Amino acid sequence: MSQQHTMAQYSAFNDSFSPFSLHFYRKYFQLNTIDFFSQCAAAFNPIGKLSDAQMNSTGDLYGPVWITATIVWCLFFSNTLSDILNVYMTGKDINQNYTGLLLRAINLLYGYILLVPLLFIAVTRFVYKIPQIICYSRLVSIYGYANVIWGPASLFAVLRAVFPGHPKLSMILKWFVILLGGVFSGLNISSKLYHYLNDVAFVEDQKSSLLLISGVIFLHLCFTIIVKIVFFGELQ
Amino acid sequence: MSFYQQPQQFGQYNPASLPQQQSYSAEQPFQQKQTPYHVSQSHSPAPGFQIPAAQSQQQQQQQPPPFQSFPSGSMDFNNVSGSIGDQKLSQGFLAAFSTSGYPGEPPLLEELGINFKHIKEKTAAVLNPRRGNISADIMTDSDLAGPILFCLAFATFLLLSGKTHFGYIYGVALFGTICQHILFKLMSQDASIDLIRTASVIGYCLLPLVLLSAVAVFVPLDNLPGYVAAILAILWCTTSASGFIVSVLRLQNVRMLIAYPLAMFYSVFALMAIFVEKTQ
Repeated sequence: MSQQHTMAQYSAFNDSFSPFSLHFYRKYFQLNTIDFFSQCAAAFNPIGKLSDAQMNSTGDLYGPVWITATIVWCLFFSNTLSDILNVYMTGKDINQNYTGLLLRAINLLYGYILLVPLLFIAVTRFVYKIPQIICYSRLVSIYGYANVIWGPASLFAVLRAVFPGHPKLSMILKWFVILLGGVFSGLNISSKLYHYLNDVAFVEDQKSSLLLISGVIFLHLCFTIIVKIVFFGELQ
Repeated sequence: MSFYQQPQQFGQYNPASLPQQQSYSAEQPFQQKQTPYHVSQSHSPAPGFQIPAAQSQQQQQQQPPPFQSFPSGSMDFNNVSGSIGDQKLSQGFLAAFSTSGYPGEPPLLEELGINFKHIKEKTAAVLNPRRGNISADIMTDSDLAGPILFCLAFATFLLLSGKTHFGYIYGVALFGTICQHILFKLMSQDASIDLIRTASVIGYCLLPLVLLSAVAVFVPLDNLPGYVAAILAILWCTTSASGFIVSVLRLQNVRMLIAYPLAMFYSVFALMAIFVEKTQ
């Protein structure tokens, strides 16, 4: 109770700062460990919804920043470790530019969670003219937390190095990992956004909300395919 | 006195109380002329700085007698020249090479804000992370002498084991400290933290990794026991650093969130200590 009171005070206090000061961004980092892990757990649920209070609040940026950093690390680590194991088992040398891989991972993941929400906001605002606009930081938060499944999925993909002589088995494993990551995170994002469009923003036209959601799913599909190409070998 | 109070000013920095402090010290010479009792009053902390009673008592005991009549420090600069103006410094060219100074002048290390007792206390606190709750007071003296000492020791140990990583160490330390400082500032609620304090905490908690690098001089750590030792050292650093930061920021239930970036930061240093650069 008192916690909520102080939080309200802080948000009122923070509103007086300009976006160019550090204090302005403080409201996006006011969370505790329990909040963080419950949101991470909720991101594993493919048909999860956000409560109305959560939907209307600003959402935190700690999760998107550090979860995405962790996933970048996991993808990179999975790649380099499986390459090392591969070299160790087959004796063939792999020549890959790992700095470039790391930079691509950073650009792809941070770019996805920052630009796609911006696009979503722009489309809902200027094309569909939906009056109640979800907060941009909340959208970034939804996208950032939904990607948490990629962490365990990419670490699981290290196993592909264990059977270097079986390209088919390796391919099946890669596609399994991609499906696991892509489907879980995609379903999580689209169910949350569908809930937002129908129950919070009250989009009357069923067709337009379905169109928006299919756009979101299409973008996520593109993202998943790029992850597959960049981190899990060429498309077979 | 001023030596002990300066860190307090750094630590509990409060924009509202700073003008008060200045006006307070401006009034001091006048008060001293009126009654001698105000001299002792001037030693009590200014409004806005809460020093625990036990600590201030300890300070009173630690003061050598000449200090009582020697109000020094950056704030009371006019006062200093006033009280000792009648005692001349020795003149001449040779005096520049002599060690004579003003009578009752504090030693150079104290003037510079380097207090070995505090450094020792904080080092002990870092090495003992399981000790219940770490008091916020121990980190109010945010000196950088200890961290610089540890960074230098770390770099020297790496140098002795054949790795010249001075540039990496300073670069990573500076960049990491600034980034984490921004994060801590964002996560803080009502307590504020300044960059010096963050650097001090992070630097002091590097100590377990310094020990690891000292071991690495004699024993190669690029093997399984070495990895285990490095992970333990990272956990040790992270536990104490996050404990300090949480107590400084007076936060609850965020220790894990603060510990995660710290663990990343310290693991970079651990990687430097373990792996040898391949030069071909």
